[in-house]
Amino acid sequence: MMAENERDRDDALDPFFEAAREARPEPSDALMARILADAADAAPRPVEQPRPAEKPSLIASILDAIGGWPSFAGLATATVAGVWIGFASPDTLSTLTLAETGFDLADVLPGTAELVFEEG
Amino acid sequence: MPFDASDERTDEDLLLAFGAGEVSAAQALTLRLTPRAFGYASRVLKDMTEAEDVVQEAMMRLWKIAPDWRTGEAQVSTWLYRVVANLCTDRLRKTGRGVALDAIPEPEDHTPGAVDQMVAAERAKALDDALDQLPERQKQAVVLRHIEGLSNPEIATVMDIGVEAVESLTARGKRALKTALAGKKATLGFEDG
Repeated sequence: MMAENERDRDDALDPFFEAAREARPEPSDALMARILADAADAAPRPVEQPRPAEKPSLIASILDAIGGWPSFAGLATATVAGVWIGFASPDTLSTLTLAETGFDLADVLPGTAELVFEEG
Repeated sequence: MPFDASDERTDEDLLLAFGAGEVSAAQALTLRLTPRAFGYASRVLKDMTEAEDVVQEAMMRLWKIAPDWRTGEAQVSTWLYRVVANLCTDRLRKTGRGVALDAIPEPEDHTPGAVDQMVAAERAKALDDALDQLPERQKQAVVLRHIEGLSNPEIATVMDIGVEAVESLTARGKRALKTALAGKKATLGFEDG
């Protein structure tokens, strides 16, 4: 009996609930646009392309030509008067001395400008 | 890409697709879910601006969880309702309840023969006022059940309570609504027989 009464009483509310559903406030276009913009920002990114190789520096160009870079420790022990830059292909390149290239050691080894070399 | 809500895929399939990088899947999801979330939030918060903030925040959380969404655990809509409900509760605790009672614009209809629509609008308003008198949890349960159309198990998930607790809240809430609406029966056809 109680259940039937409850059902009847539920029917009494149904028109109100139906009216409430029909009267549901709608979201604005602006809100929808913001939500879509958020989705675009939050979307998982595809794998990034590898960064293009940096432009070769002057030093890299020289080293490319002469084929290598001796260890810094080895260079640091060399005297200013006769710094030899090693190279991989003695057949194709004649031996250079740094003085002949016209560059200072500081040009070739950035960061060594602060180093003090004893004059030979 | 056409702005299209007629995508046949389920909410979950759309969300998984979005999580896999298909950005356009967000369009259909947004069109489906935002009205429901906003309807609920505006009814709870009684303030359109607050409701917009809550819904935008909730949808943002949905976008962010998409890559990690686990299938078969919860419905997307249930998950979203739960986030919206929690955000609404947080806001109500901070700002106090029911601030702008007339912030919800009332539907205006002056077309000839619009008596039914006007009665419906008045009923909706009367229910709104009556809901506002309920304890918050009863109001939530009744709104989710009878306006948003969720099942009791879904409501249990949204409100983080048991199904029996949901049934108890809705039963008590409806009894209170009938009491609150009893005075309207003459004008709005509430048959309290």
